[in-house]
Amino acid sequence: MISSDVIRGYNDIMILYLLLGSDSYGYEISKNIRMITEEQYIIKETTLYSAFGRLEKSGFIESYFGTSPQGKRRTYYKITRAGISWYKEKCEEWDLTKKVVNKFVGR
Amino acid sequence: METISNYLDTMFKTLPQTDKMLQLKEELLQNMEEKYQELKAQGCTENEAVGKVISEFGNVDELIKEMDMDSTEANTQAEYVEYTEYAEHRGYSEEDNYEGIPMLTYDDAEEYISGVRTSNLIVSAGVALILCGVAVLIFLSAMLEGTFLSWLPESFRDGAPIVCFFLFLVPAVGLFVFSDYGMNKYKYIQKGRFRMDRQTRDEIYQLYQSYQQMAQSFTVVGVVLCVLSPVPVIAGGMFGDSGSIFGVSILLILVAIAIAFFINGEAGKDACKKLLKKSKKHSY
Repeated sequence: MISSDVIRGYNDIMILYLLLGSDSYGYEISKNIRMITEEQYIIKETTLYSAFGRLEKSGFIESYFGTSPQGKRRTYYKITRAGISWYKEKCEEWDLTKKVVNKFVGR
Repeated sequence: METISNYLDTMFKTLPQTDKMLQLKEELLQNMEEKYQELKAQGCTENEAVGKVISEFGNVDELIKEMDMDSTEANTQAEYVEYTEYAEHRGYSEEDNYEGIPMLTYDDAEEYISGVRTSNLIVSAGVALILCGVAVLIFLSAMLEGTFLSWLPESFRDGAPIVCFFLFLVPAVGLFVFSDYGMNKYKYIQKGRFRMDRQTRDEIYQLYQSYQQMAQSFTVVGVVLCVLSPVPVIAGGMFGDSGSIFGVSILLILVAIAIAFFINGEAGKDACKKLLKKSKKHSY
């Protein structure tokens, strides 16, 4: 299991990546993150929702209400155009980070 | 299952009980319950499932940071949706009667909004008068000190600017009193003693959105004026001391206009917000 400190800056990238596929809601997103990472990273509920709050405030995602199959209300999230370009920026940033850190890995 | 809900209750106990927070708590509870059910379906025991769900909850401090700084606009919108949906869910309708609490019609609401706007206009006129008074005071003092008017008696030169200032101040105070008096008949709205039906709420919400745009553009104009206000002082400074004093007078007038834009821009928006917010306690 990965430490949440290390990955903090990249929760946003995961959420935006999943929203690029289709609109989604909290639990589905956390489930998909767990699945894609083969349970090597499990995002905490509070981390997820604080990321939603931050992303929405920055205008990178939008929320709307929908209903779950059980008929309960649920908040869905949708990526905005600003969110898409920010996602691309973050990806480039990660590429660079990876290259830099890699130069010091594996002696 | 109950353990999860109790756990959330405990976690949220110390947090501010805003609508936004409660909404978030509800959402988290749903997620955790769903997760719990899935774990059980995969063959976890009750204890394992609850333990796993709780261990993956995280730290509530993370939520406070993000939720508390939310803008009031978002709050109003969330509350609006929440309360109308809540009302529908509960099956409340317009016919439900709350004794002694008047039902507000759209016309009443419009009258209230225009009342607020008029009152704000009057207040901003009062503020403008006072600032103009100060501008005149500064300007006159400088003029009367100037050598070319020194033949006037000294008592006149000292007294005239102050008298002029009071000529502005007195009507300004009158305007403040008058605007307050005008709002008296809307006291029941200010205190939230009214109800509204669904349709009226919807209409007012639309008004709110258009006033919000107005408030934004008014604020922009006000800010631009504030930013430009020192320009006359700087420009006046090039013509010596009396020039910069004249510039200060113009600065004050520009600020007065800017304040008028701020006060009047917010009026309609605030009135709608009050209507949407205050009514909820009694309308449902």
